[in-house]
This record gives sequence, structure tokens and C-alpha cells, in this order.
Amino acid sequence: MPDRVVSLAVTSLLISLIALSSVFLTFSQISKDIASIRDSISGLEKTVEKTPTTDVIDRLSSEIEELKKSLEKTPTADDIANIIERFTRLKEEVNSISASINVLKNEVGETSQSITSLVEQINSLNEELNYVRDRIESLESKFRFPVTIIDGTGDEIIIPRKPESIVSLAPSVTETLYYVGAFDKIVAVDSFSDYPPEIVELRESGKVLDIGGVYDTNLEAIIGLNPDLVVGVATSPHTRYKDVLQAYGIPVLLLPEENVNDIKRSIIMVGVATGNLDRAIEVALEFDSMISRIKEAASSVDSVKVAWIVWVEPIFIAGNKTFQGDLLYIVGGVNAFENISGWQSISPEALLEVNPDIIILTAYGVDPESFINYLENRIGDSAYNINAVSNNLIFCINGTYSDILSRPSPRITEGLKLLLYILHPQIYGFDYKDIPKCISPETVPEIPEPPLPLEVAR
Amino acid sequence: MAANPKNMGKMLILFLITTFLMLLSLASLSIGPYTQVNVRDVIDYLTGGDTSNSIIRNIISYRLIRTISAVIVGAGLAASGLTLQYILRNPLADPFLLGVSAGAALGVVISQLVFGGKHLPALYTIALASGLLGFMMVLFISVFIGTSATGLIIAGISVSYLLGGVSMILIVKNADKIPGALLWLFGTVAYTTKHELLYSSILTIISIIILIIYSKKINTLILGDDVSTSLGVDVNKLRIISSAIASITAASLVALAGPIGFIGLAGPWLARLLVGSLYIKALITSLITGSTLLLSSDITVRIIGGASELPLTAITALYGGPILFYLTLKSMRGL
Repeated sequence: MPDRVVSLAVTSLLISLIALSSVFLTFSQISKDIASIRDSISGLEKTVEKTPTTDVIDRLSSEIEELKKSLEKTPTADDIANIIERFTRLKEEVNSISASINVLKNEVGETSQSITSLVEQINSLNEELNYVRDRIESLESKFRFPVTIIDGTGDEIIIPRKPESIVSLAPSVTETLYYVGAFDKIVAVDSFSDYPPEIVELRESGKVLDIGGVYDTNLEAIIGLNPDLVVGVATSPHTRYKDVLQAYGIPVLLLPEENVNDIKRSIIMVGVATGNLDRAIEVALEFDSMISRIKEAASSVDSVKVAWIVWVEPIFIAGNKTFQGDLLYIVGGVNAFENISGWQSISPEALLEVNPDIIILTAYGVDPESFINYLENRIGDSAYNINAVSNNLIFCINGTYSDILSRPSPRITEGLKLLLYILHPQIYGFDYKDIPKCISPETVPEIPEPPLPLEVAR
Repeated sequence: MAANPKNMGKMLILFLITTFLMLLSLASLSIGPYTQVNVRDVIDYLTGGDTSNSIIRNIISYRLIRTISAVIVGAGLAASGLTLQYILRNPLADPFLLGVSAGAALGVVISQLVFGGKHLPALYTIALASGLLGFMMVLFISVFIGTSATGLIIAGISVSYLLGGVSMILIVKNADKIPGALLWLFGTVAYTTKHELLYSSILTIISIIILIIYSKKINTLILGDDVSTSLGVDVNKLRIISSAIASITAASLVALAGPIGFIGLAGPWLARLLVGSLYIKALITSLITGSTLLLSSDITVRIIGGASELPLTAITALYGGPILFYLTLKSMRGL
């Protein structure tokens, strides 16, 4: 074999590998595999079985086997959410391996035997995954009413029959019911639900009963309707309402809502509870793949340090273990107040100390200009020592967009897309100065879609 | 004594307001923001007959728990307020103004945090203990700023704000663990459960029986310590027992319905206006006036609130505020 050909092949491989490994930062394991593929190609005599790539494929196929096994028994709502999560991750891994093999294939040509065999193995993994997906999608047949669900408070809820009348206690719940296809079963709703927009009209016309707000829900109205199901939120006074309503034989399902993963659990719980599991699984799969698409796009760029301010005078920030903190993490933002837990008030000096690159304001009505004025009044010119202030990277999010970012519902994918766009405009070929300072449906009528994973790879 | 026309008049008044309370209770079972229940259905339900349908039955049952809660809370807070007024010889004394409610509220928040809301024995024990603690703090502070009517009120308000602030911080910091606490702090009988009602009712009824047993001795307190002592009353022991009973009653009702203001003030004031100042008469009448005031406040809330439940103090403050003002003015003028 001529040395030049070998060295040319190796050189071109190396170049492509450097490019690839920089892209697949989070997939260090796969980068290692690619290195091993390079080895296996340079020495075609070596058997494919001995390469670590085969190990990865073995691991993937055994994980898929496990997934199949867990699909055999009757899963709980949380099991299903977990299965969907595992499925999405496996699908992602297989996709990224097959994407890197494709790149390699283009570099060395079809002739390489080891590559052909790898492609075959990947294809069979994909077939297995498609089979698993079919199995996941047919899970609904395993659920017959009465169904039992462990809800967000850890209580066992029994729903005797497929609900024909449902009461929603919160805006996020109404949205989840809508996504899962149970919207037309809603007979009563809280005063603040406004999505889908029809609900406002239905409530105002009296076709759907108004049962009050979060802290003043009218339980007598709910008892009078005798609904088949009441859906609320676990971390809210709804726990108290549940104690009262259950005495009248009304099943009350309280959804977990603390982070983005809980949204998926809620989608499945509502799917099981309303007899719309097919649709719920579809929504959850879509939800998960959109989240991983956003994560992947965010991982292709440098992370930024973000302070998320939810209230001004005094300044309240979203720290660690908040819904907003979780959103930041997904879109590649480092929470400037990672050390603070929950929503806490801070002094302007604290802002100076953590020095965020970007400030996000979801403090109703406060725009970047008045926020800078506020800081100047409090800490003077040293306000300009904050990167976000000196670079003019303060963004306020208003109107519907602010609602979307505060409600743990399936619609959060829209909010995450918006955050990705604000924090990393370079992904879309924009610069920070192209982004409006106040973001609302008026200034950004359409939220741009994040690029597909393969586009990121290129 | 029964032949005394003045006494006959008082008996008549008591009879009339008791009848009014009964009618109000029936109305309370039939009036609601969305569904009006036929009085015949209500009576059928109460007499164990078959009511037309299960939804109506459920609605009446919900309103029954709510009505009994309002009656117990109204009666207990009024009895507690009246007793504190006799012990302190101060017409402005009220569990809400003297730190008992704020203390009990803090106790409920702490016990929810430590034991979860469903462990009722723990909840009541801690609520009662911290209700007493709140009251003792007020007495301790009033030693320094004087035990005059207004001095006590100022001590009460400062302790209430202090303890209320601690409750608020605990609630906000642990919003995920005790999501129901903020709701309960509003003070309403809309969300009481049967089990809590049972606990609070038993404690309140026992307390009232003890107060009736001690009524003659408590009555002497208003004449001054010297007179009481000369009548053979162990004044300090009586003060400790009766203020403990008054605090326990109020605290157990705070545990049930949250802090509700002004009933402990308005109930006894109205009762003394109607039947005079003899403790036993004022006590019995206070039970009825307190219940009547709170139940009518709750019915008002249901009528004007529409879809949403208002805190009861929103209504009780409407008449309680002016009464407080009047009583303060009266005591400042030394009348």
C-alpha cells in the first residue's frame, strides 16, 4: 500500500475528526469511538469486533433490550415518562453515531468493510428503536378505566371512568389538558386561564364555569358540578382543596410542576387520567425531542452568564431550583445566582458581584432603560461595571411570552426557543443588537425554530 | 329571680337571637353563589330523609361543615375574647389583637413544615402551645409599656406583626413544602375538613364548659383583685387557668380556620350591650352573638364573592373596626 495514500487518508481523517470532536463536545464518549474507528480504518485487517465502537453499539442495544423489557409490564404514568426519556436519549445517541459514520463514509468511501458493518449495525439499532416507538405508542391499550395514578403529591388517585367532565384549577393545567386533547371536556376553569384563547370566551359566556383564583377557589361550585376529574398543581393550595373535595368522591389529580422534566410527567399523567394516552405520548415524544434539539443547539455555542430578574424594587431573582433556573440550564445559560436557592430578593451590589453577561427581566412592565436608571440611582456609575449593563444586554420579556415562561405547561418549548434566540442569536446568524430590547409578540411575532441537530453538526 | 321583668327581657333577647341563629343556619345551608337549595331539601337532609339527588346532598354536606365551622369559630372566639376582657379588665382584649392568633398561626405553619399538614395531633399541640406563647409575649411586653387598654393593644399589635412576619418568611421560604399555608393564613371557613372541625369543636366545647364552671370566680375579677381575694378567690391561679383556656380555645380555632379578626371583640361587646356584664350571662350570650356575627359574615362572603372566596376578616373588619374605634375612644376617656 503506497505510503502517500495512507498518510493522505489519515490526514484527511484527522482534520475531519478535529472538526467533529469540537462539535460533539458533550459526546466525548463518541469522540473516543470515532478515534477508534480511525484506528480500525487505518488497519483494515483488524477485526471490527475488537473496537470500542462495538462496545458502544452493544451497550446501546442492551439498553434498548432493557427498554423493551420495561415496556412488557404495565407501566405507571411516571414509568412511561421515564421510558420516553430513555427512548429519546437512545435515539439521540444512535443518530449522532450514525451522523458521524456518514461523515466518515464520505471521507473514506463506501469500500471500507468495517464502516459497512457499522452502518448495518446502526440500521438494526434504528429498527429496534422504531419497534420500541411503536410499542410506546400502543401503550394506551394497557390502560382501562378505572385507572390508578400516583400524582405529583405522591398520593394514589383512582379515576373510576373515562372523565366526561373535567375542572382545571390553573392556567398551566388548562394548557396541558388542551395539548393532550381533553380541552372539550373542561366544564369549569380558574379565572386566569387564557390559553387556548377560546377558554376566555367560554368562561365569560358562562359555558365554562369560573371557579375563582388560586387562593380563593370556590369549592362549592366544583362540588355542585360533580365533575369526573379535577386537575390542579401539587405545589399550590390545591393540596388543601384536594382534602375537601375527595370527601365527596371527586378525584383530584395534582400535577408536579417544579421543573421541565415534571412537565413531561404531567403530560403523561393527564393522558392516563383522561383516557388520551395516545395523544399524550405523541406530545411527550415531540416535547422531548424539541428539548434535546434546543439543548444540542445551545451546546454548539459558548454558554453565557444570565441573571433572571422576576421583580424590581426590591430586585427578586430566580435562583437555583426554580423553574426559570431549569430553563436557563437547558438553553445553555449559567445562572448568575446559582448559589441562591429559590426566588430571593438581592441588593444591586449583589448584581455587581456576580456580574452577569445578560440580564433577563420578566418583572411586569419594567423595561431595560428604567432598570438601568434604577441601578444608577442605587449604585451610581458602578452599574456600568456590570457586563450586561455596559454591553446593553438587558432584555425584557412581556405579554404572552412572559406568561409562557412562567407556566410549566407543554407550551414551554416555545419559551425555550425564545430564550435560545435571546441568549444565542449567533446560532441563527444574528447579533445581540438585532434582538429587540423588549420582547413580546409585537416585537418578535414569530419565534425562530432552533436548527436541526444535523445542521448544528455541520 | 325569674320573675324579675328585667331578667325576663334578657331571656327574651337571648331566645330571639338564638332563634335568629337557627334560621340563619338554615339559610346558610340553602344559600350559595351558584346553587340555591330548597329549604325542604335542607330539612329532609337534616332529618335523615332521602334528598332528591346526590349532588344536592353533597352541596348541603359541604355547607353543613362550613356552617358548623362558622358557628364554632364565632362562639369560641367570642368566649375567648370575653374571658380575656374579664381577666385583663380591658374591653379591648381580643385573641386576634393580643397575639394569640398570630402565635397559633405560626404554630400551624411550623407543624405543617415539620409534620406535614395531615398530622392533626401534632398540628393542634404546636398551635395551642405557640398561641399561649404569643399571649405571654404580649403580657411580658406590656409589663414595660403599661397594662392600660391601649398599652396592651400596642404590645399585642407589635407581637402579632413580629410572629406574623416569622410565619410569612417561613411560608415564602418553603412555598414548595407547605403550599397550603398561605391560603389558610387568609382566614376562611370555606376549606375546613371534617377531621379538623372535630378536633376544634371538642377543644372549644371542653373550654367553654370549664369557663362556665369557673364563671362565678371569673365574674369577681372585674371588681378588682382585692375584692376577688376577699371573696376567697385565688386570683393568680384563676388568671392563669382562665387565660390559658381562652388562649387554647382561640388557638384551636385558628388551627381550623386561620386567623379571623374582630369577632372576639364584636361578639362580647354586642352580648354585654344586650344582657349586661354578669360574666355567665355575657358568656352564654357571646356564644350566640359571636356565632351569629361570623355566620352572617360568611353568608355575606358567599353572596358578594361570586366565583371567589373572600377572607372573612374582610367582612368582620367592616363592623369590627368601628367597634374597636368606639371602645378605644371610650376607654381613653376613662368611661
